[in-house]
Amino acid sequence: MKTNKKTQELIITGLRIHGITKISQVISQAAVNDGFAVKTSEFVKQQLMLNEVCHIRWGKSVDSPLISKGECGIFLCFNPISATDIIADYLSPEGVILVDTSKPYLGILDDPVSDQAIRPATNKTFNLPDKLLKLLKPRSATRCLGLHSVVGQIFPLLNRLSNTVIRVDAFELAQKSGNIKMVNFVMLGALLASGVLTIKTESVISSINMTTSSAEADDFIKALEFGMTQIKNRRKL
Amino acid sequence: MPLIELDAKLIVNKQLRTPVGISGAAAIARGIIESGVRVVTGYPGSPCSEIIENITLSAKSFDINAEWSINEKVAFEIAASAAMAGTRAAFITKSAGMNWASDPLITMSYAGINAGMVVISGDDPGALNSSTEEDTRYYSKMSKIMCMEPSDQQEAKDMVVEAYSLSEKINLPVLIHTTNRILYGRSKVFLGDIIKLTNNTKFKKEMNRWFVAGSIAANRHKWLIRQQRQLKIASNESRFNKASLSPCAEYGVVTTGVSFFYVKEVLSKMGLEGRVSLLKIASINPLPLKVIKEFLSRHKTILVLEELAPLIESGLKIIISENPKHAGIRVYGKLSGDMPENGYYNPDMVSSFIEKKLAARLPRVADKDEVRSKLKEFNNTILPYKQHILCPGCPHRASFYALSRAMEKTSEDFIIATDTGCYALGAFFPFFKGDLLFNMGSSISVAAGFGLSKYGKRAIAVIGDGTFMHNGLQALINCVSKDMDILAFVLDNNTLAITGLQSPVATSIEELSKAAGAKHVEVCDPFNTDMMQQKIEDALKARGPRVVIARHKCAQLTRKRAGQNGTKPGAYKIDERKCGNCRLCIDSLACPAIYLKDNRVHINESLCSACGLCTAICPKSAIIKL
Repeated sequence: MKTNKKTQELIITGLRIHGITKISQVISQAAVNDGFAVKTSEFVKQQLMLNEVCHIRWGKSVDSPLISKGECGIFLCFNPISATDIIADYLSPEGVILVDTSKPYLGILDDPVSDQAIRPATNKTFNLPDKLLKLLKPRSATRCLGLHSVVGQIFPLLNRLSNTVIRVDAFELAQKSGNIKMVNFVMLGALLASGVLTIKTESVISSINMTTSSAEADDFIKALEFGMTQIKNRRKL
Repeated sequence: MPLIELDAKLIVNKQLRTPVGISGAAAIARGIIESGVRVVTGYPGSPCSEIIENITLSAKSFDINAEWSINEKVAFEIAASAAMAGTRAAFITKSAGMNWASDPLITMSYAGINAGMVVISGDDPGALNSSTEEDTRYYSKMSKIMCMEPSDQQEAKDMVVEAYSLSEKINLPVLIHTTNRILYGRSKVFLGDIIKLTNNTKFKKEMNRWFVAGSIAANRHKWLIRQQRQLKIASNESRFNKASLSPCAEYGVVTTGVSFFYVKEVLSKMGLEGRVSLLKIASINPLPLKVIKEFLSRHKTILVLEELAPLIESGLKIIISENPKHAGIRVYGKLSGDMPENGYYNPDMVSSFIEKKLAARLPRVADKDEVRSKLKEFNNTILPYKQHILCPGCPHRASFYALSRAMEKTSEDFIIATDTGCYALGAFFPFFKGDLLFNMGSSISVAAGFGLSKYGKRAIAVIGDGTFMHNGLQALINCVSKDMDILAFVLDNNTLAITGLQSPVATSIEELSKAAGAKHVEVCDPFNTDMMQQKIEDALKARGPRVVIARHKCAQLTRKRAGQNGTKPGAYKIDERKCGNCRLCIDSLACPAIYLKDNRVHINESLCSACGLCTAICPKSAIIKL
């Protein structure tokens, strides 16, 4: 556990649909509630399937809103396949990675890319020039959300890079908690329960109440607590 | 759903002593509320939209008229004239919108204003949510108004409040220039009191001031030039300019905006605070000459760190060349080729610049380089596929599908000019419908130009409803009046989706097109796949100015409404007995909800928004309602 005096750095990566900016908002206010200085940088998009990144730093005093390379102590990754370059650049040697392994978001494909990737149907429907067909070859198979077989190769690398890689199936947990949209708060709960943050859980809960309408806040806190208990139970086992 | 979470609940917090952690957009919104502003106008665009969004939610309780105008020019004119008439006003725009507003900005500065007016421009270094990396600070030079730049969220709020009193003192609007890192970032902010305005300057009819043309304009220009003296005083006296001088420092760093904090962090990490002096410039136009000259006289080498164009750097070079006292001072920055003119700055860039110039070293913390480079390799193989995907249920997907099929049926090859909006993603897999993309609203006129050229292919313009209303309509009127051969394919999703689902100006695009004189105007729901395809096909074959409108509500908007009403949109699933595994659905739609698992097609229920497009194309009718 780090001392309260040191600045803590957190990077959250994910798709728009994961709602990572909400976590950024909640943590910022929670850090302020705890008497820290805080700064965040948010790289955002509107389309649900596009990648977003949030840098969050808090501590006694914070200058830069962006984290320096190789200095990020905590990673929270949804859709880890799109985060590989960010992890490679920013993770500190003693950094912790909390990663969402849920399948439906991870891969359109479960099987490795085959040469059959371009199927006749595509060719017939679109009558594409050769140049584009070449582009399409891997595309139609792997596409956008990442390839499960590739994801399988990422985890050994992450384990070599960091001593603490916590895997959480956020989608499954969110489904169990009763609302599949709550992947973000389930993961935040898991992060809080893992004990790496200097921010107190009570401050996070009061931050949720401060930033959100009361109807939504109840749902968020429920998902948060669900994520926390899951991780705590796991540790007991 | 705005791009970043709104802090509307936090900024109306009544306990002023307790700080809040809010975004720069919310901080500026609070500054506007604190200043007693009554009229707020703007046009949605990242990274600025959230300022107005934050105000809108509490506009009624503060008696603020906040509006999304049809475009930035109109928005500026409304706000500026309200300020002329004696009501405090704000105009908010992203970088590209400033180009639109520049015409009234330059003209109306001649007349000046009565009540305070602040113009907020949000630039986007790195072009993260824009099509250019332009620097709107230059507009303050062109229109001879004051320009200020905050370094963090607290300063942004305080600066807005101060800008209003300054604006009233010098009778000119004040430009507050910010960037994505301020607006799309959060930090601790202390809120201030909401000002109760007492002295209201009443508008007086005065031909010599308000009739800006000819000799009156020339006279008003003289007035504007006279006002520059006051601007210079305000610039030198601004409390936001901060110099931290180290005795006997040889090096000085001049910086502005968020770069100030990168420098501060890097210097303290390197332990160089004693060796380097730091000057943060907040008043950009006019530059605070007195402050700068004093700073220059203490140092031999100056490093300049500012995002976007080298505006301060060139200003410094002029000051140095004019004053023999400063002879021999070397300036390093963008003009010397040490820092790039493009992209956003970060602490790593700043530290390597300082390392190079000061021969200092910062120990590298990263280890296990070979693992890191392997991870990066993954990124390089996957990078092309991990972006550019339309949302599940997006009506644009259906429109582009119909366009693809229709183009396939006609033997002709077309060139497609697309426009600013979500539908620009149609240029990527699997549709590849988009060859040209420039500024907002350009598609119709670009298509017209290609039509007139000797290029040989006929042109299609793809344009959204918001962009069409912003300025595409004028291009259409022009094309119709010249009887040009273009097809305008208007994708009407009833919202400005890419900037965060703002409501567009509600008018009927087909009526407008008809009124403009277009004879061939068709409207269709793109999810009615066959009819849509037929209508596009007919339009492709026809000649002259044609308009085809594909109208269906944005899927995110439907999602949002369903969430508010507590209803579920439903979903589809694959009937495994019927599915022939041809994967036509995956290959021709690239819908994120359809995926392969164990070599079979599946639908992710949580992503599916039941648009039913895939049911229309499945040859085996294997996709059924859940």
